[in-house]
Amino acid sequence: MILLSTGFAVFLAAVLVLAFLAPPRIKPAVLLAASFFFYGFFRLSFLLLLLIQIVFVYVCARGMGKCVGLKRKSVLLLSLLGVLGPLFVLKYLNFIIRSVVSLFSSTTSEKPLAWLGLILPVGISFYTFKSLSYLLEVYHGRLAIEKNPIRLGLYISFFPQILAGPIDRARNFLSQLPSAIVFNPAHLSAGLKLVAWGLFKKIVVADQLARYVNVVFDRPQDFQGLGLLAGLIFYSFQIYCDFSGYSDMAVGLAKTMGLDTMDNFHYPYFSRSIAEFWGRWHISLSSWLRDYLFLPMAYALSRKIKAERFLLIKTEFYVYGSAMGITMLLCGLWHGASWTFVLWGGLHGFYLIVSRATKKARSGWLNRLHLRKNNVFLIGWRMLSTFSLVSLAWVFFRSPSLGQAWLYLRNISFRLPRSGIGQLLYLGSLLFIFIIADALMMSKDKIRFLKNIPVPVQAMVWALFLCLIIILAADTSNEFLYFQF
Amino acid sequence: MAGQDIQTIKIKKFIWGSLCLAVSFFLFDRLLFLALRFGATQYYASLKVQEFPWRKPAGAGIGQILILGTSRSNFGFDDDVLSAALNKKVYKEARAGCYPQYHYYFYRKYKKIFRPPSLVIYGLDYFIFENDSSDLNLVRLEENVFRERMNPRRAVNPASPWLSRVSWLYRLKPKTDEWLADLWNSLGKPDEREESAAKDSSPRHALPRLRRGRQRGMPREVIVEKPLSWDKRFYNTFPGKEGPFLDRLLGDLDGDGVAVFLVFLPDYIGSNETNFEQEKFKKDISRLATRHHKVHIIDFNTPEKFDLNDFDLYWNGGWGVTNCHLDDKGARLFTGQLAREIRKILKAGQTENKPSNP
Repeated sequence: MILLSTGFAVFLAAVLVLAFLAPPRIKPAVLLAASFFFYGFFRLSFLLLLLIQIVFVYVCARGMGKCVGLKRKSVLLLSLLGVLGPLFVLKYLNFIIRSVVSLFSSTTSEKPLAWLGLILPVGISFYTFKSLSYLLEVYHGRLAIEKNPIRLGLYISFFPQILAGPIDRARNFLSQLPSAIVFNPAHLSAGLKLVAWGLFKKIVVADQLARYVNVVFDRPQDFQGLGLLAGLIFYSFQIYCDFSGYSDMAVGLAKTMGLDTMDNFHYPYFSRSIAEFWGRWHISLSSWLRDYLFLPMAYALSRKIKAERFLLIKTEFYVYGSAMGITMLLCGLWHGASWTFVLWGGLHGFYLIVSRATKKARSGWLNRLHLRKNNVFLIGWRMLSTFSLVSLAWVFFRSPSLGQAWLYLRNISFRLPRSGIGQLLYLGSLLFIFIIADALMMSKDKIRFLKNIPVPVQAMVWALFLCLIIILAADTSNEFLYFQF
Repeated sequence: MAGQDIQTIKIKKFIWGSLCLAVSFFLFDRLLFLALRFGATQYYASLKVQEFPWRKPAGAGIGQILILGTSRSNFGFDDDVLSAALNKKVYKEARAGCYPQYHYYFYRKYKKIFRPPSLVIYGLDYFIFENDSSDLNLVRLEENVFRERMNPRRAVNPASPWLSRVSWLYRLKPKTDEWLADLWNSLGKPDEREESAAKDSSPRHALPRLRRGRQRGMPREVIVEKPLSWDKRFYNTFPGKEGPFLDRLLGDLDGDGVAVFLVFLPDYIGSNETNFEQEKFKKDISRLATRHHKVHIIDFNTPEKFDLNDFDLYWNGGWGVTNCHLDDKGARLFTGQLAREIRKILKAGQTENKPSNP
């Protein structure tokens, strides 16, 4: 089922009515049935795999509850293998075989296991990470075992989140069931507004930018100068609007049902450092990686290393660097089985490590220059430099190969474009309006004027906004970028 | 009790807000639509000042052959081969985004400039009744057509007939998109490197590709490996979007006493398996042709008439690709065979290929 279709709107309306009218005990079952129906629409085999995973996770978690010590750890390992197995086979096996074969031979097939006819199920990375989160929380005793398979099934397969997140935490989601699922006009209206805002981000801003971005990224060898730099800036906003647009819609849809899910984006391009960027970008994934990968790895390493310094550098830095490096490389790999994603993750890891290593020195410089941290110019400079570093890394994320990425970067120059200025101006203006709107959204709680607008005026503004979405929605039928992950 | 009151107030506020939203949406939708229509009409009216780009017919001979169609016909019919084989000049009006409505208006203009041709060859596409002719091309031929097309009373957006009833903007969204795309293209394209720009504007790449239907220098894009599954294309039946214009065009040609050859161009096997409702398409054309005299159907999209398996004859196509084009070699071969067939029919004056036996 396509998310941006009237079919989905009818489906949603039916689900809302049924969920609101159903008795409290039945509500999760209604939403679970709706989620299966929605996911099964893509392919029945995908649904079957999801069902198997839900049953497996349920059984493993119950099994863990009955064991202690080493046995409990064994069950956890078995469950992790079972949950990660399908993701590994369907997403990474081709890549690994291809990479190994390419070490020994100059010709390798793009998909060595194509004869198996394996297709990557949509959303598998997202629901696998949800399952892992649940199992790890249960193992560490931070979450009670869910005895009701329907509630657990709903957590893993909840339809607004299954395709591209957010990777919500079980504790947050399960604690709201079923009491939160009630008709509340305020929730309904807030949720629908968020959906409309997400829709605008996706089909107006992201898809309009895609028209330029696709041209320059598909043939970087044919373009030059500032046009390529503009393409890079446009792509940074395209991916942000595309993914955060979907996330807004997912959060908004859950909100219409009365469920609060975790935010996935918090105006990341207003970040003043790479570390802050990762606290605002794809929050559900970055916090997942922090909690289940980075911190356990860092603790394990620091327990192993007893010395305080090694080669005059604090061992704490080695621990941070290695844990962060591995986490970010895996973060890149999570996005896709390709060296471009690995390099993208690696580059972010490098930024974070360098940032950590130079933190003291930078503070010292600021003190010497008598610059305070809230200096407007300093804030502007830090935002701009963070955005530039993030955008630079996006080249690897977007390009189909490392060669293409290099070609793209090599052709960027500050030469003024001889043509296409009209397109640049149009998209630049659209982006400018969007950035202003995004900044307003960021500080909407602080602006009193926005809170006291009478209902009819609010309604008029939203009506005008809806009309503008219809007019400006790009005719590209672009799928959400993050569905491929 | 107080909680219940708050809930009632919330519900009342929600209903009031929804009502305001509905009324405002209705008003803005109509107003913005009218503004958009005005803008689009003005834009296309400004293009009208450009004269229609008439060309000199290709080849030499007595009388003229008029070829009509889309880019498939542009690529598929070789003017030189046809002209030499039938000893007539050839005028080809075949370009992407031009369907029966465009051809109908074009023919009305054409016969005023030249005179009715000796014969017309019309290249048929599987998707002939599925699409609208592009406004940008159409407005050069007929002034009022855009206003007619932006009439909200008749329009329905096929993406959602239900939403079409609610919103005029949505109803005519495809037309608005077309206008916005024309505007977008008029803004120029990204700054290309000198070598790439020169390649595109060289005579080898520019004129001949359009006029003579050649695609030299363009990389072949045929999908030769059959995948496990691929997207299949349903056939959009007559009358579809512009079917009645084809009927009217054939009527006019009938009135002018012009022999018409409706030609099914060959498609690579993968595209044929993608366009899986060929029989329905052929039946529709056959039915349409029976309403007119002097209309002949020639079907080259069969393995008996043309090699549909040899990818070397096609520029693009394959499984999942509905729009398949012949390449230079394929066009020469196909046009030669077609010319022989036409000559045979014209000589014999027979009706063995009349529409009853497509």
